[in-house]
Amino acid sequence: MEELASNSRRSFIKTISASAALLAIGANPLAAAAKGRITKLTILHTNDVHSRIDPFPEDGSRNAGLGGVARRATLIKQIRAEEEQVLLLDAGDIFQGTPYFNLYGGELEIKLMSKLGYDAATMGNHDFDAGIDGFEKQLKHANFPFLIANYDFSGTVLEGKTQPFKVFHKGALKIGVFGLGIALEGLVDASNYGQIKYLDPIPVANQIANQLKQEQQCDLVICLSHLGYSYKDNKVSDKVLADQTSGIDLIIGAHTHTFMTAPEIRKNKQGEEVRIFQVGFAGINLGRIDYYFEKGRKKKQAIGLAMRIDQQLSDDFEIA
Amino acid sequence: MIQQKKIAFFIVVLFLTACSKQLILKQTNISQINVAAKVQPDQAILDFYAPYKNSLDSQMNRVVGTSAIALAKNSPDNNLSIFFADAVAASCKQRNAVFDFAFPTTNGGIRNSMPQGDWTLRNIYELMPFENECVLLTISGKKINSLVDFIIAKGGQPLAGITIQSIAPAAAIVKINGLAVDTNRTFVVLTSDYLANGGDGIVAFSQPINKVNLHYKIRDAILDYVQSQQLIGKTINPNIDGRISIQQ
Repeated sequence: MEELASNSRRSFIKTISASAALLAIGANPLAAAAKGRITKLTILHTNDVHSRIDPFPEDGSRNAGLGGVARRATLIKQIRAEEEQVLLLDAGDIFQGTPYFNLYGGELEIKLMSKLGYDAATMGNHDFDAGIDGFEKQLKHANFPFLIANYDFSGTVLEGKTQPFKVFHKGALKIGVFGLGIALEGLVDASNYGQIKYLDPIPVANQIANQLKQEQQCDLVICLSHLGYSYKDNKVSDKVLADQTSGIDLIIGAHTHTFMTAPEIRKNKQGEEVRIFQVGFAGINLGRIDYYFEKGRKKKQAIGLAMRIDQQLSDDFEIA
Repeated sequence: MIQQKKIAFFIVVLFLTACSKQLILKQTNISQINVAAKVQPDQAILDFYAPYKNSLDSQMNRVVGTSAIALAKNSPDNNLSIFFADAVAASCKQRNAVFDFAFPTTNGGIRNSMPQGDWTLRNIYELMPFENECVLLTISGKKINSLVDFIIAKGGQPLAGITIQSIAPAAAIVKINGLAVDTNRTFVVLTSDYLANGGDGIVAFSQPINKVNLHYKIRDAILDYVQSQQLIGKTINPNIDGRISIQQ
């Protein structure tokens, strides 16, 4: 009984400290993280930057004065100085939209992303605007991987030069990131995408997300999606992806240039929460997601087992 | 022996859970930071891309025309779409291309708004960054209906030489150069190689009777029109003329 009482007291204290930690997150996340109870991960993300290297000019238009890669660099640097674990991601359509792309073919966009320390990106349809060869030519300037799981590049110059996913180790955390691209037919001129085969993103996402969650035991699975947020017809979108898959925690969206004021929280096919977030276009906004993890026991898998026990054993045995 | 009897042995089914010390997600905060003027630009980044910027600016900052008003695509019948379609049509006519009407881009292909006042070459590039070329498609008059349905379904598109008054779903008064559509004749549409090649899935453009690539970039057609106006001292000032109206 004494053992049991002390167990209870311990778990009570644990509960208190967990609640206190959560309260502390609200008030001062840094303090909580510093005490070691909480592991924090910060995801920074962009989408559809479309070669917008300079801010929009001050010409009275809707986006006048907004964006700019040098300002984004300042923000990223500041956040990296404040936070221990940071991942910087992009969801595609890096190319096309300003003469920087027409004149330099995307070289500067990729060089700047490398300088800003992007950890990974996926490909958007406009990243094929100079053809497969045009994209391949700029890959040598990237010090980060392009993640794309549902394009089969076999027989093209991109074969073996992208990867479906990457597992990032940030402190004690394992984060699985994979990429999904949009159907190319009718969107990208056939001469620009050539022999690339587009694969249905739903089965691909299910297979990879589960591989990352179950086999690789990732604490978090992120999908960089260039599918688009939502459509009037039944075309596959981030909403459809969220609903028809499992294993994905976060979808960082793109393509539809959607300015979201808040993330959309949906239930996946197993009833678990999936968040969708997209931050407009042109680098006008930098998305920021802070995850707070707490050390504790977690159900990994349930095993049905028949065994003989006595009362004492059952008292001591903790079922978590 | 008695003692042994007192010991209760139970055969139970226990769901034994394999446990491990893990990191459990407790809270997620999602936000976004507006990249605005109050954020100081990183000097090292500015320095790094200055050579690219200087070279670009020297090519792109030249004024090519002037607009009396700001142009934006904010309704089916908007001054930016009208300008775009009229400019491409005028430049192709200047090159002796013969066509009935122009549908040179979808709305999605118009990539930026245009400011009031001076327009630089950069503005033209940001309006039309793609390398698409002008194409003449000859299509059967029987396909006009399907084309009009597509245009209405998309909430209007940039057009010149054709008017569409949609009065109810699936009912529209269509005139090409002021005349009712004769489905027994063929029509030549000025469009882009992107749309002619199946871009945006325009069914009416598939399997045309004839297809001629003018090898003339749409961006160059716009630029030539703007510069021609500048040359004769005219400012850009498109009128919203009701060429398309859509009953919601």
